[in-house]
Amino acid sequence: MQSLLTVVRALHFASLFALAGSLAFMALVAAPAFRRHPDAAGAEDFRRRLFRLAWLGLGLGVVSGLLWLLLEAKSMSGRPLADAFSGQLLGTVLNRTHFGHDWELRGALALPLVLVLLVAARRQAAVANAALWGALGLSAAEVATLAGAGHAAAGTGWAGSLQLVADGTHLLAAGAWVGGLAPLALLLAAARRNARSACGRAAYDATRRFSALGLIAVAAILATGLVNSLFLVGTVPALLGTDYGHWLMIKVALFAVMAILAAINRFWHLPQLAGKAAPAAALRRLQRNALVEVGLGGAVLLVLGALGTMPPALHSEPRWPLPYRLSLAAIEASPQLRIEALAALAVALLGLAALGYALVRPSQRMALLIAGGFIFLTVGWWPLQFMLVAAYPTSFARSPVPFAAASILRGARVYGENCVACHGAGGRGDGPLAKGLAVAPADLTAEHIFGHSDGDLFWWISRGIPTGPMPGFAASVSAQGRWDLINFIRARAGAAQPSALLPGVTAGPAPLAPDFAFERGGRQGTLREALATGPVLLVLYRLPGALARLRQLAGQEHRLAAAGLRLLAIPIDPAAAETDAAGPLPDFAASAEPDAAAAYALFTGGDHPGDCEFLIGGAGFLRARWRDAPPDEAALLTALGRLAALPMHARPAHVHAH
Amino acid sequence: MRILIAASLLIIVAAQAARAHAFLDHASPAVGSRVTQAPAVVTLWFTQQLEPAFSTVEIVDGGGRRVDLGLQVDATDPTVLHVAVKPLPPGTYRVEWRVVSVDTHTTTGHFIFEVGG
Repeated sequence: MQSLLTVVRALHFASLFALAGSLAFMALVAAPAFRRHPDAAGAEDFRRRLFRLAWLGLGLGVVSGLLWLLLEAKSMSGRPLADAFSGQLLGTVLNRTHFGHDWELRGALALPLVLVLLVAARRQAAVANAALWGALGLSAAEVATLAGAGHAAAGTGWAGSLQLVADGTHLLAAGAWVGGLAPLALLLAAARRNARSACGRAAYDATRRFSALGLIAVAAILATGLVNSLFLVGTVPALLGTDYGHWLMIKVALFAVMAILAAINRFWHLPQLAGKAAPAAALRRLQRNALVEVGLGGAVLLVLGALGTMPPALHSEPRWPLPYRLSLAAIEASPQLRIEALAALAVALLGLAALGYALVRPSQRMALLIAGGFIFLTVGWWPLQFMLVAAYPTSFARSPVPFAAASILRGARVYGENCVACHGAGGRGDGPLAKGLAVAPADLTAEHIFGHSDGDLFWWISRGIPTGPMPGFAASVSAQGRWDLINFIRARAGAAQPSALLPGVTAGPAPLAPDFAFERGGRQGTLREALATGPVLLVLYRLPGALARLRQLAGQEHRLAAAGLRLLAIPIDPAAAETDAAGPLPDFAASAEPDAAAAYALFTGGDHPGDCEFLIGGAGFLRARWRDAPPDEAALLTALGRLAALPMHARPAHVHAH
Repeated sequence: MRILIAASLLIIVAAQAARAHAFLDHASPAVGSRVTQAPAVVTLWFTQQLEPAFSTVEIVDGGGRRVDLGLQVDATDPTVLHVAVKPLPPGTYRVEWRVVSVDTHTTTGHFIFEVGG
């Protein structure tokens, strides 16, 4: 099913490329060339063949377009193909989906296209010429609207518009170039048949024009392809570690071979045609290369057909294929290393410049090549060794389990059952078995935890560390349990950082606030949703002692809200809260899921039984904590001002986006 | 330098781009959460605009009985689905979703939430 959709998509794109490409070739390349050489034999014959190609493209485009509609109706509805033939299902697809609207637009463009094509295919006349340009415009619209039937259609806002424009331009440029290759081969065949007439000169002119068109198209394809890749792939791991990325690299490689062949045609074979009589050998090679490019273009379109049916790399779980990855952490940590690395980079670039100079300067080329290459490789390697760190297939895996209270508590149970013996109850690497081990267990509360990606931690927990006693737990703990464990370890380590949880905002690393669900005034929400509107003061309270504080905050709520701070209060003991309430609580008091207060006990500091207040920044980090002595209004406003003044890049202790 | 600025702009744009293929971003009641008050509507936020004509959400109780009453796309945000449900007694509920995004791709998933007494 997927492979059939791939082939049909490829066929549809190829048909519309052939249609638009032959019309573009006619209007922009062949017609001006033949106007300069009116005595060229075979011009009329070539014109007829070109129109036959355009009609073929249109016909195949209609058939493949209908097939595509049926296959999408089946795929979107999840019903058998037989149902796709029912008018009701097709009507739903056409009238109520983006794909259907886009498809209808192309269908509507096809009708006037048939009419102008009929006029344009008549003998040369002013009206036929005007009709040709009309047909070119309509077919270009057919090609450009294909952007609305792919991944580019999914964007929103101005980024979505940019994606659509980039994809539409990509398709137009590819259509002009790839679709023009078959017409080029036809023209070269005509020139070989009529080598004695001026047709050879016309072919030379036309090929030069087509090369210029191709150069513009290749530049546009590269630029817009880069934009598309940023949207759909985005990162190096996604490119190297997903099916989508692999197929994209194959597509780029095929494109590179096509571009090299085109360059050989332009700079090697074409100049040989410049004389009075076109040499048959050069014509033959040009034509052969054009046909090879047509084949490669077909392969590119098949890859395109497949890519359109795959989830984009950005959304697939990348499997990192290399034993190393680049990391700037070591260089960032040491200012001296940074200077040395920059100096080495500068010297290495000098070596590279010498290499480049050697290519354009013939004298002493060998010496320059050897010296430049030696400097580039040796000096260039030196900073690289500090940037390469060990990597694993899951290094770039994103945790599927949100950083939430329930997950952290589940992770704490996994920790208690599997990790305490070596890493210790507090995670400091001091468990009862630690002394007997050849390699001391890692301190899981130290800052280094935040230097490792979730994916690295997941790999070590799953597979163990071969150079030490750390065993793998893939067989005994479920994947979700291992991700829960990582959430727990990160939460506890975040709370243990010396710069964290002070009674006032500092620029140092801060722990991420676990998400939780709550109910307030009959409405349900989560901490993350509450943070979307700005910073939150989270109050963990215990009744009846905290009642005075809650009332005090209620009095300040209005002014704090005006300064951009929202209040949210949850009971430390949810069961006791309802019975102990002596009088109505303020509106900002919510009942939270029971796991919330239990998970936040990690941040209240050991067995601290009293009330605790946290200032949580809009980005979701616990920026300040007050115990015993709650902050007065002035202190809160000061903290809020500090929060707003934090540099955007103030490093969280936790790079973990959910 | 200008190229660097342009490149970083592009990366920012890419980072903000809406995601192709719709995945569940979050839900209310939250995924895996326990709520004390039974919701009248279950809301699902997706990462991408949906085709409502082909998107379905089924909610079943612990005994496998359907409790969902009807599906509605949010009036202002086409990435949000609201599902009205019958009055829910305490128990565990399973939400099965199958959505088609505007780029024609189908994604499926499920999550549970608990209504506690």
